[in-house]
Amino acid sequence: MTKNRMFLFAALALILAFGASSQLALAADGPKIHAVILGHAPGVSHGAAPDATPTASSGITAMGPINAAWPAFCGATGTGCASDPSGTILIGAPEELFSAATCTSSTVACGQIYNFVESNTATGNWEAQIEVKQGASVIYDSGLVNFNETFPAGDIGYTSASVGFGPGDCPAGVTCVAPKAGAATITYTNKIGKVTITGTQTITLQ
Amino acid sequence: MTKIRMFVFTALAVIIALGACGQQALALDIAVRDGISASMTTIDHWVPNASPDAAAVVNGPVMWDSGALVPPCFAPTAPCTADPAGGVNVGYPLSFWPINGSGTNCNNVTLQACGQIDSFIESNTGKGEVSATITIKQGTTTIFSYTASKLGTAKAGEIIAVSVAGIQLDATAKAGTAVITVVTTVGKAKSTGTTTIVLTD
Repeated sequence: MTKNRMFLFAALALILAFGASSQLALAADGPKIHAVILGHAPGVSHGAAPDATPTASSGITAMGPINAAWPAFCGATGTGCASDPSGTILIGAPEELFSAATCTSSTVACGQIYNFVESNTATGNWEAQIEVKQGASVIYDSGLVNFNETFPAGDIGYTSASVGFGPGDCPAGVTCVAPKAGAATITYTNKIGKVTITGTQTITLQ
Repeated sequence: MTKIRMFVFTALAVIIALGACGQQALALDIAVRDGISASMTTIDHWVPNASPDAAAVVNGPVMWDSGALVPPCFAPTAPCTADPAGGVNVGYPLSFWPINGSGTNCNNVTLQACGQIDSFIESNTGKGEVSATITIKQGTTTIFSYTASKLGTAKAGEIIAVSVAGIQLDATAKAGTAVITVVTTVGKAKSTGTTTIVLTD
């Protein structure tokens, strides 16, 4: 009985140790999408929820230069763009043309994909996923990222990820292929509570 | 013959004078009636291009926002010289827009009375004069349309921001989705971008 107990305790210790290691490894990998809730747009009233329309909507999806500090809130009390008018933001200039030859590894991100999402009445847990495809071929997939944050109704959210394209830029179970010259479609999916909203944008690799 | 010539010259002068006045009146009328301003700005692409083999002009995102500097400011060019390179200053992107209570739905935003549409385009080999036509539709009903001709000139390999401020939707606008379409012409190349917003009561 004692031996059995010792065996059980040893097994439990191993399970906990492996479990902790697994969590640590996951944490070291880190979330692939950065998220921030901007709050209400200054001076804008949302009005009531319209009938027969979504309660959340994707603003813009774009790809631009990498800067972890974006979006920056401008104005005297803001950070990163204090001389710009209050109520404005600084984001990466949207670009549509990238090199397929030099943007092929997750270790050398070549741009930042970002997305704005706005809820009208939707609220709840916030998750997001970015997928980039050329035809049926996947060249980037962030996997579904849970921000473990409640998205308030009526707010605007911003998410971004620094990306490269190709093998190694997908989560386990998804195969990413090397990018090639031509159009690529970014699909940005946000889940707010039970509402799913997607935004798309086409870029060109050359 | 001299009297006839004088009459002809006088008539010509009157026609020219009236024509000039007519043009001025028309321009003034459009400016006052619409309260719309359209502009563009450009900046060199940040990432060096490989040999271009794609479309001459690629349309980027179209956004409806709360309004900011017109046109959006590409840092670090003036007037946003203090901002880090690669950034662009814009208003808050808005997906929902209230139309209730203000008749022409234009009294809800601090920076631009009627919001602002910003469209980003990138030219690869496309270059030349830039023009844009902005249309907002609900189903088949057009609730806004505006053409901005000869906004400026773009070089190949530039990012272009076209901005239209002071938008007033037609009184027929109603709660529900509305599709914004921006057709941009750069030289002989044309590109179309769309976005969907939701108008609310």
